[in-house]
Amino acid sequence: MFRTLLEKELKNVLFGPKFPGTFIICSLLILVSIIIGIQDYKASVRSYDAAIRLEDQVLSERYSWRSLGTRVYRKPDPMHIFVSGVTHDIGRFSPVSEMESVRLQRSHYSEDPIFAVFRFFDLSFIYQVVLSLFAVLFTFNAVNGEREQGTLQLIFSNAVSRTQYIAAKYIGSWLGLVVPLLIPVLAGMLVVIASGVPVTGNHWAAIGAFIGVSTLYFSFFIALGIFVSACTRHSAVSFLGLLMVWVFFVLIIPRLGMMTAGRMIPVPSIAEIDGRIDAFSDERWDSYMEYLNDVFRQRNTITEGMSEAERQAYRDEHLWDWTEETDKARKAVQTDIAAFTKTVEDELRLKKAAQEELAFLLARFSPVSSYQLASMQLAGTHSGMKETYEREIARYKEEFLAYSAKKAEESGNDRAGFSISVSSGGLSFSSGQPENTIDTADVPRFSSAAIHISDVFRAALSDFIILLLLTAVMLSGGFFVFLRYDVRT
Amino acid sequence: MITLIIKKELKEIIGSTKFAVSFGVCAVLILLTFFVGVQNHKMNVSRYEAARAQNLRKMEGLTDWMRVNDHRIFLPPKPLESLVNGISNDIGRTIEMSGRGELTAEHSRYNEDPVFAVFRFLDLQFVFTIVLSLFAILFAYDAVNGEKERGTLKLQFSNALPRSTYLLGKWIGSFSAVAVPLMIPILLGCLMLPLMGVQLTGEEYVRLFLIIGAGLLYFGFFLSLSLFVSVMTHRSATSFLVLLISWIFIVLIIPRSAVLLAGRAVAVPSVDELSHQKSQYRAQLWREDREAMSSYKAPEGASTQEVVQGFTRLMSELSEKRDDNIDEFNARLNEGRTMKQRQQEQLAFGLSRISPGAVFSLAATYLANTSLELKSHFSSEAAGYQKTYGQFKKEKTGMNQSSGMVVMAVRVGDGEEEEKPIDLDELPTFMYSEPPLGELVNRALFDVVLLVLYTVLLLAGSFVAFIRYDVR
Amino acid sequence: MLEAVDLTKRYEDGHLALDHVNFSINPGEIFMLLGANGAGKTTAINIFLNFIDPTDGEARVNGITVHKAPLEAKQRLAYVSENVMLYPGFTAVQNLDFFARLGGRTGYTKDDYRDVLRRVGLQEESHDNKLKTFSKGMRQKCGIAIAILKDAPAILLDEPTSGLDPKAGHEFIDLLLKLKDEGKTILMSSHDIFRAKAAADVVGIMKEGRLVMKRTRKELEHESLEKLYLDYMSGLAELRRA
Repeated sequence: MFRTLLEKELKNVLFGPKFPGTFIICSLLILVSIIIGIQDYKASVRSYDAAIRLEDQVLSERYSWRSLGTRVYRKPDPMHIFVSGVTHDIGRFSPVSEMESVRLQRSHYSEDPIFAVFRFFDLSFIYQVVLSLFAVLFTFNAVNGEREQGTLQLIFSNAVSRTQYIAAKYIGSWLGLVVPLLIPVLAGMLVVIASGVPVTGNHWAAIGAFIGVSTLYFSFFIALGIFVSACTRHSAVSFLGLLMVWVFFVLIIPRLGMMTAGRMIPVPSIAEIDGRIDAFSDERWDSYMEYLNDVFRQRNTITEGMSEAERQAYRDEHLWDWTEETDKARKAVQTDIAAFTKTVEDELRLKKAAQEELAFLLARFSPVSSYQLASMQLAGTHSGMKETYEREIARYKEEFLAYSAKKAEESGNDRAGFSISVSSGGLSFSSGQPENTIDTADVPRFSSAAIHISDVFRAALSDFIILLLLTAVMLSGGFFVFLRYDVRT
Repeated sequence: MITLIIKKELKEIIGSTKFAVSFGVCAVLILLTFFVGVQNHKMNVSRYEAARAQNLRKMEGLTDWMRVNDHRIFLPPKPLESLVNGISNDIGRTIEMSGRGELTAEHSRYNEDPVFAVFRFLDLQFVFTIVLSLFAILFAYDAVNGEKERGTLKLQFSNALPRSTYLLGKWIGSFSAVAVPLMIPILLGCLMLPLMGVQLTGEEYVRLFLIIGAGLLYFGFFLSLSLFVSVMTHRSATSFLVLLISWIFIVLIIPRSAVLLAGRAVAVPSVDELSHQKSQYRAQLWREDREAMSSYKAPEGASTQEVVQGFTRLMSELSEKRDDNIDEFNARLNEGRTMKQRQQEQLAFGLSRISPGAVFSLAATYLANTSLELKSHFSSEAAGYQKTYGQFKKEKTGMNQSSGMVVMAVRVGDGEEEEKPIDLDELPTFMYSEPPLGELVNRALFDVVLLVLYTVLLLAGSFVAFIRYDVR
Repeated sequence: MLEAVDLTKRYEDGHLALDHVNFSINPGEIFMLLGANGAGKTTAINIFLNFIDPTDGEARVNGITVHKAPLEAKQRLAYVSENVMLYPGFTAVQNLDFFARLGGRTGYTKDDYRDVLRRVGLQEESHDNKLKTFSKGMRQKCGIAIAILKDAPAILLDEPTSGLDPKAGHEFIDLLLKLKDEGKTILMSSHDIFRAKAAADVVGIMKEGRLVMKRTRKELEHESLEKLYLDYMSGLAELRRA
């Protein structure tokens, strides 16, 4: 009996008038999105390689280890093919030098804003918007449509239990919609392999999880469609209702959640932060200057009354101590400022984290957000990637600077600058250009920390569970409601 | 006769649940969009003010204009930007100013706060392109074939009712049934702007209304499309499916793929490549100049002061020349890239204009001045300011050189006198002005006309198809 | 008033729906078309309404050739379909108002609509109910009310009584006779031999696109219509004639 019902559902989906057209279009879109993703990935790899080569060249053409600086570029990752996330929105590189602070800058979109006009489309976008809409389109009249046709009445004039029927409905629709769509997805994976994208085992695990989450998300909309269809008498009503729900889930709630959080937890802008730090450091330096004045005055009072020679002698005697004394005070000011900067920046980071947490919490009223967040976590293109990157670059910066400082010390006097000395005899200009360029073969390279796939999974887990729960709610809701459904035409 | 059809259409739509629900949703969304836009604008303004204040604060207490080397200018936020985002959140909005040399805009909003880039913002452009177009389809997908399915088409055409009258009445009726009520939340939203303390200039109001007008036109396009598909098919289920797929393509797929395609077709030289070439050139010039400097020989018997002055003169001459060369070189390189970018842009937008969704987006962003032109406009305004600023620096310091220049300060005299801090009021302010209304309208004109053309074409198509429509 | 001259319709799929059908109906006459499903009755009515063009021959309304001047012809026609469908979101009165205006009658008041609805036998309390709550019989009554309101000289009815209960069917025939007395020309297709006999001035029987028999009321007084019908349906009549 169940088999018969299941077969009917499958046939209903697969041989229905909607299926061929939508299937072809979805397959096409999935494949196109993957191909575009591959192309984009390859282009960014090319420009990444070129940028790295240029940086190397710049380094190797240097004559001195002093004030050496470089740039660290973000490396493209094959996962960006499927989930581009915020990768085009955040800076492509960060300077690494003594002078500049680590900050990812010049995003792809800011450099080539034409790509920002209509933005990107990738596999997660196709799932998020297109496939969810089609899932709704295929299931909105699953139950009430049969009632309207009168077939429901006829079915239940036989010895069919309601659970059997609704279970067949869910399973049949799921098989009929999910399985065919896995074909283009898998074909897309073959394209990825064939086009020589370096996909590691970790990547495959992440891709597998991504497809899993996507399928779960798709299943949620199938279950939602059947549930709403079982809640209503007329397919026109369920259709309108589902379309509204879709609009809210996919288009409105995620944005609103984000913006509400932005409103509720305001995060100070960079300028405000800089302002606070500057104000603090100004104050500290002012008091340092006052301190210096005091010290000088004191020293002057001590030497007052001494003869010129005595004074000189006294000074010479104490010069070293004095220097050390003021130096210590200066260092104290510097540490203070550094500490304050760190506090302010930590505060900012905490606020940002709180804002983000609230934003995602609110956005998760829609399963679409959960899906988006989970897939971005799996692909490593979530909004935290900027901070992660900057942290890693900051670590690298220390390493890099330490190395170049050590080298500079070793190489001794390699004054690459020029000096001008003015004496009564005239002016002499010496440009101390060393003979050879420096050997940069051993300069530490930036490599982002190895990603543990288990960490990635853990980060995506909560959203996965949310999706799972929501789907389960839709399923059981459908069962429950259908038990008391009036099957009469 | 036509008024009768229009009235019937109005009554039928306004009395339906579909209308109540979707109008409610749209009204809430539109009001929300305005509200959010106002809030965002206010936040942007306060951030902008803070950044400017910080910029001045950094210069406070300096005693020499020579030491001002990180003066920044900012792209001021405009209220329309928050209503039609365009690329305003994607481009850099801060420029570190120097008297000469290349300027780069940095710190895009999305780069600063990537969390907002995850789902992006809700703006009028989004509501029109995505939500209202979907509702247009929802209202008109069964305009003709639905009446046929219900059997009312037959009864109507048993009367002396010309087909063109029927179709036109249908279009006007459904357009006004949805567009007119929608004007209520839109106008309320516009009213919200001054009430919540966002003052728009007269020109900005004109632009806002033009954007709304373009949005309604775009809505009209989707009505025509729905009418057309409804006439071409006999079952409303079919027409809905066809329309939904068209919607996905028009709104989501074509614009995106067109740009990505054009990005592949026209190769634009990478910025990294260019900046590398620039820095190499600069280094080369620097090496040459250094030789010239080291071979400097002071005239016999000159005093120290004269020697230093002579050398300084040489240095500033050299650096002047070097800067000129670099400027020229950079300009040449940038021109090449800009040209390629223009080509890419033309191809991308040309292709994307197949989709009226893209056409509307372009028109709206042109009118809101958040199109690609915003970036170039900001650059050119900044370049204009750079001239003033360079002039100013020259007046104050006697030289105007690109940053990174070695500055030789020579104290003459005992230096006992108290140094006076610089007067920041003297610093020329960056006055950003948007392009004039005429220019913006001009840019948007082509797309608006194209939108009209698409609409008319589809209406004409519907008329032709309806002549041979089987009403039974 | 209504004339069919060599009316022929061949559909694109080659099916010959009408084969040189000729008839003419005078003002104040009820012409009843009988025949099995697919005999061509509805096709004939559709040609009179210009829903489809004839392949050959023409349909005339008051001398106007329908497919040449469809709008003029349709001004003189009212139509009631087998399954009257109206706007489900409108009330009966609203529907009547819309269709009456569409038929060019703008002078009616609400009371007029109520009068007509009462006249076709629709209960007062349902006048302001939405059409989606109506049963088929009630919708048919509304359809007739619309035809009455249009006040056209000719009325085309396509199996209007199918699915009506006997009482309603009876009332319907009464109404038809009254309309006839007002001078209307009525062309009606039906399956219902008894009603046809009760009301028709002329009865035609159609089979496979041809009008195989035409009898006036007078001629029928001496014959059994049922027998004639069955004979023609089984092909016996042709055999006999042969």
